[in-house]
Amino acid sequence: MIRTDVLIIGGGPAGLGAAIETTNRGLKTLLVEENPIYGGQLIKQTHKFFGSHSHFAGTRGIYIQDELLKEIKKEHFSMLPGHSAVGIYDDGVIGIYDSEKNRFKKVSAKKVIVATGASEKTIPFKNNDLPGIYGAGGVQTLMNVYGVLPGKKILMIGAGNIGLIVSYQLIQAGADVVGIVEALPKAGGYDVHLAKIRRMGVPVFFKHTIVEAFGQDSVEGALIVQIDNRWKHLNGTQMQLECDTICLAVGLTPSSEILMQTGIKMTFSPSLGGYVPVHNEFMQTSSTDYFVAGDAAGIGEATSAIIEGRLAGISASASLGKEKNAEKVYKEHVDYIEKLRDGNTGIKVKKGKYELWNKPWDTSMETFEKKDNTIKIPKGRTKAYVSIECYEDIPCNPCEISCHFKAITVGPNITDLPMLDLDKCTGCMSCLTQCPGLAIFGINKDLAPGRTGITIPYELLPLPEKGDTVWGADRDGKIICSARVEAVRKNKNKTHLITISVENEYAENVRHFYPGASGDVLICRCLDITADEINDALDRGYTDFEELKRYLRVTTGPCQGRGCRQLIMNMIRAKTGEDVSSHSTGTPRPPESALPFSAFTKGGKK
Amino acid sequence: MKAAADVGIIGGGIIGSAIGYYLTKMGLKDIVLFEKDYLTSGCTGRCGGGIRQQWSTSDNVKLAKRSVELFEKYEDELDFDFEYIQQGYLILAFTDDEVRDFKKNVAMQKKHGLKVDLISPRQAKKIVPFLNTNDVLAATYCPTDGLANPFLTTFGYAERASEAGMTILRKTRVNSIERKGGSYRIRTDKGDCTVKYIVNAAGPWAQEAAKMIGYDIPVEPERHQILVTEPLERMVGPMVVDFYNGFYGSQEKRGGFVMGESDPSEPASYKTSSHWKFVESISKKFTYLFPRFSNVKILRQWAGSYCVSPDAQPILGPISADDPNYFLAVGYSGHGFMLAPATGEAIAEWIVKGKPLTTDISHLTMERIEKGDFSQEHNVV
Repeated sequence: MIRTDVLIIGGGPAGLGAAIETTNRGLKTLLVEENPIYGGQLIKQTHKFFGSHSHFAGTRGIYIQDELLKEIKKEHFSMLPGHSAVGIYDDGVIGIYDSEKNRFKKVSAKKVIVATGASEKTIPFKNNDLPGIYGAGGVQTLMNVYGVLPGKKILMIGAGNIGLIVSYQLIQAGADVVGIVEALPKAGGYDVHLAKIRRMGVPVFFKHTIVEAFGQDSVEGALIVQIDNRWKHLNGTQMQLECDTICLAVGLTPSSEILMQTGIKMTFSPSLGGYVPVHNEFMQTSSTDYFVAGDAAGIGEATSAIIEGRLAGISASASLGKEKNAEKVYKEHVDYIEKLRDGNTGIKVKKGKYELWNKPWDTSMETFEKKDNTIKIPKGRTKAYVSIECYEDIPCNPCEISCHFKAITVGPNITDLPMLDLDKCTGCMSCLTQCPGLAIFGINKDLAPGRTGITIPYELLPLPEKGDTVWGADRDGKIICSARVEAVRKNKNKTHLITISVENEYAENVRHFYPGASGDVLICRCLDITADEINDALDRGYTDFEELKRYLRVTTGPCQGRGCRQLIMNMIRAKTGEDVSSHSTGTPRPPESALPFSAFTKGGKK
Repeated sequence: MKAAADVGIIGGGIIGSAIGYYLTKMGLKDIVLFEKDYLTSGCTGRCGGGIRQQWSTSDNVKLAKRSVELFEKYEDELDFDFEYIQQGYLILAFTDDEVRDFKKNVAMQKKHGLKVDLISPRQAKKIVPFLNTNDVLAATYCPTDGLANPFLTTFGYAERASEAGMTILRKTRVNSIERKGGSYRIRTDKGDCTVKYIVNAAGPWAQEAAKMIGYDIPVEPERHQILVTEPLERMVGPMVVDFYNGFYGSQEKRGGFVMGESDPSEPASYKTSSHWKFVESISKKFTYLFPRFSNVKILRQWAGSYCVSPDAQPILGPISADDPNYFLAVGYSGHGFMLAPATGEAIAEWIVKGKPLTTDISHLTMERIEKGDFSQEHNVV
C-alpha cells in the first residue's frame, strides 16, 4: 500500500497545476499518469498558447509541462508514469495499474484530485471502421510525439480549435489537408486559427457532414454532403474528396468515469461536454475527499485547466488544514479563469459552470461589446507598421506585452481586442513573433518603388531564402501574385518572420506565400506549363512576355491567358524587377471562346 | 550601347537571327542586332511554320533545298528543339492547267535533285486518309518538306549567336542611318552605333529601312490571316496546299491545325487585325478538304504581314553598287522562314568571304528588279 497525502490522477496541465499547490504547501503528493510521458495533451501542443502573458500565453504547449514541473516542490512530490487509476474501492483505496510491470498497486490517499482529461467523441458514418480513420488526438500523438505522419492527404472533420490546430500541424508536418468539414455554419474554433489554415489554401466546407468513407483496404476517399439547419442531408450536394486519412475532431467529452465509482454526484451538462462531477468554484466535488479539475470537470482549454488544477490543489490543501487564507488565494485564480471564459468562445463553458454552481446567469453576459480595432492608415505613411488582424474576443495579450514601444493595448480585460497606436508603432515586428494566432502582419510601403513589403509570421519548413521568388496568396490561400522574399528573420521561438514584397495593388490581400513560384505547379493549365519551365525560360532571357509566349506558348491555350497572364507578368516582374505594366501581354484574338469550323460554314456556298 | 561594330542587323526576326548566327559561325562576332520590339515581333511571330521545297522557280528550289539540308542539321548543331517534323507537303491540283504546271515544276525540281513526285488522288488519299480527294485530279508530294516552329527556330539562332558574341538590342528602334566615310552610323532611340556593314532584315518594314539611306525598294507589306485549332492527336502528316482555292493547312507537332489562305483583294498595309470574312472563308475551304474535322474547334485567328516583292522571290545582296556594304535580305513574300537558313548562310558568306559560296543567289539581287529580268514565282498562297 502506497500512502500519500494527496493523489493526483492525471499528469496533464490540471494535474501538474494541482501538484504545484499541494507540494508547495508541504503535502506529500503522488501523481499517476497512464502515459509514459507526463504532460497530458501538452506534449503534442506545438502551437503557442493563448491567454495572459503571465500564464504562459505565447509559449508553445510542449514547453509548458516543464515550466509547471519547475514550480513543483520536488521533495514532496513523486510521480508514477505508466500508471493508470483503475478503481476507487469502498474503503477509499485507489487501485493503480503499472502497465510496464503488469502489476496492480494500491494507494491510500487523504485527498484525491481527479484530472483525467477527456476522450474524443466520434460520429457515425458508413465505413467508419476503415483503417485510416483517426481521432484528432491520436493523429496529434502520432505526429507530434512519435514523429509518424498518419497519411498524406487528410480530410479533417470538425472546425473547432482542435480540428483547426491539428490541420495546421498536419500541414507543418508536410501533409496535404484536402479540406475541413464542419456541420455548423461557422468555425467553433478561434477565428485566428481558421484564418491561419485558410490562407494556406485549405478549403472549409461549412454546413457539411461526412456520409461515408470509402476504400478497399483503407481509406481512399470520403463522401461529404451539405446539411440544412435540421441536419438533413441536401440532395444533390454530395461531393467526393480523395484522401487517405480521415481525422475526426468532432469534440471532446469529460473523462471522469473513475469518480463515478465513488458515488459522488454527477450531472449532464451539454455546455461542458457531457457527464461531469458536480463541483464548486474551487473544484471540490460533492465529497470533501475528491476534487476534479481540467477537462474532466468540463471541456475547456489548457490554460484554464492549469488554473482549475491549482484551485483543486488549494482546495485539497485547505481541507487538510494547509491553507488558512484559502478565500484570498482562490480569488486571483477565480478572477483569471472568469476572464479566460469571457468572449464568444469561452462563454459556453462559463455558462455551464454557472449552471453547475447555481450562480445567476444573465443573458446579457453572453453579448460582448467589441471595440473597433480597425485603424485608418494615413495616406502618406511610409514607415513600417503592423496590421493586427485579430477581431475576435479571445482571451489573449502577448502582443501587448511584447511591444517595446507600448503601441499595442489590450488592457486588464484580456478578451478585449488589441488596439494599435500607429504613432508609437515603429514597425519592429516583435509582436508578430509573439501572437499565438499568427494574426499580426508587418506592412512596409516604403520597401521599393511600387512594391510593399509584407512581413508574415511563418512556421513552415523549409524557410525560403532571401531573393527567392514565391507565390503571394490571399487570405483564402489563393495565389494572386508573384512575390519576392526580401528578408528572412529566424526566431528562437520558431515563429520566423519572412518579409516578401509584392506590387502595391496586392498588399492589402497578400497574407501568405507558397514556397517558390517554382516546381511543377502548373501556371498555364491549358497547356500544362509549369512554374519551373517558366522560370527556366526567364533565366534564359525570355523576359519579354511576347517572347515568352512564343517560346513556351503560355496563354495560347483555350483560355487565351485568362487564367495565367497575370501570374506570368508577376513572375516576369519578380525576376527582372522591372516595371512591366507597359509591356504587351499579347493580343486577345477571336474567337473569344473556341468554336467549331461548322459554326462558320452554315449559309453561303463554297 | 556599343559605339561601333562590324555588322548592324536591322530586324530580330528569323532572317536577322539566322544571318547573325551564320556570321558568328563564320567567325565574325562583332555584331549588333537592332530589334524595335521583341524577337519575332514582326512576321516571324505570326508565321505558320511550313518548310517547302516545291517551287516554280529554280532559285527558290535551290534555296529551299539548301535550307532543308540546314534544317535537318539544326537540332544537333544548335542543341535546340525547334519542333521539326519532316512529313512532306502535299500540293493538290484541281484543274488541267494545274496538272500541266505541276508536271513542269516536278521535272524542274527533279533536275535540282529534289525527291518529288506527281501522284494520283488515290496515292494522295493514302498519305492523308482524312482528305477529301473527290475533285482532286493529281497532287505533288515531296516527303522531305515539313514544318517547324518559327519562334523557336529564331530563338535558337539568336541564343547561339548571342552566346558567340552578337549583341541583341530589344526595344531599340532604328530611326535613321547616316553614311560616315566608308561606314554607317545607325541612330536609334537608345543611342548610336557605327558599323561597317548593315543588313536590312526588317521584313515588312524593309522599305523604311532602305529609305533611311535614300533607296526606294519595291517591297510592300501585305496582311495574311491565319488560325489555329485546339490540339488534337496528330492525324495529318504533311502540309496540304490548294493553290486553286488559296489554302494551306498543316497539323503542327503539338497537334493544333494551323492554316491560312491567300486573298487576292488584300491591299498593301501594315494591318494585322482579324476579319470575319477570313474565318468564314477558310472554314469552308478546310471543311471541304477535311469534312471529318468540321467540329474541330478554332482557338484563335490572327494575322501577319508578308513582305511582298514583285516576283515573290527574296531580294538578297547589296542594295546597290554605291552601297556595297548595305545588304538586303527582304521581300520573301511569305516564305522567309523556310528560306532563312540558306539565305542566312549566303548573306553571311557574302559579308565574311566576299561572295556567297554555297548557294548561287546571283539572280536574286536588286539587279533583276531594276532590269525587269525575273521569272515570277507562282506557287504562293
